[in-house]
Amino acid sequence: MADLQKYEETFLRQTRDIAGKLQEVLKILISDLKNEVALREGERLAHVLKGSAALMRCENLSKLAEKIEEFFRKSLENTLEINQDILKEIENFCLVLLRTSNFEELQSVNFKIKDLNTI
Amino acid sequence: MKNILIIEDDELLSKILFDSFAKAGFNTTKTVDALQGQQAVFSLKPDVVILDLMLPAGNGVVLLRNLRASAQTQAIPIIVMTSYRDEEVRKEMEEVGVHGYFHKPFEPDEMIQKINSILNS
Repeated sequence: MADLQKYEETFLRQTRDIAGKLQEVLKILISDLKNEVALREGERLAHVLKGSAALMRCENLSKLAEKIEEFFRKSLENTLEINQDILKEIENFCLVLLRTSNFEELQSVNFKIKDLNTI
Repeated sequence: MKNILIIEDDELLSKILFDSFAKAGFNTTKTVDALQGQQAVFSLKPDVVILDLMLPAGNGVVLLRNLRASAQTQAIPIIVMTSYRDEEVRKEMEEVGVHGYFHKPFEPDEMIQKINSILNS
């Protein structure tokens, strides 16, 4: 495998960038729960986070991103009802990511989003 | 020197592949969305395209179909990479015509081996 250590800074920057963009998506959804463009962008962002976290062996973060990706996908398929509580929990998760300042913090992310556990 | 085009919105993976391909002696170009990717395929005519399926400004599946439909690009080998585990997606890609299919995460060296085998065939 490639020497992952030299990519930790890129991963940290990318993860915070994704968290910031997810916040923008959530802002739109809070006022328009069915906004398809926002749902698709949320799905894509979570998908990238899932893949990059798996690549950097941050399993918890990758699994959480997978749940968020599923949330957006099921919302697009209309098989899950979006509510403000879930959006608020994802928003809190974004804030946790935005506050991280090093790779080790991303490795130890153990955030729980209660409403997503049922997905 | 052979030219490889990466179309991938995950900057991290794109960078890892770019560095690995450079070490392997390939000239590599990166693009981050489907529109840029399509433009780059037509202008650069790369020897191999590495394509992600979920992309901004379009979609990798649509892009793949477009490239296969055009006489200018239909012969360019395309390797797809995705974290979808859906067998239907894989079948669809095989029907459209791809030269390789990688599930993320994967070893860059495996991708390089695949590229070399395509270029040497």
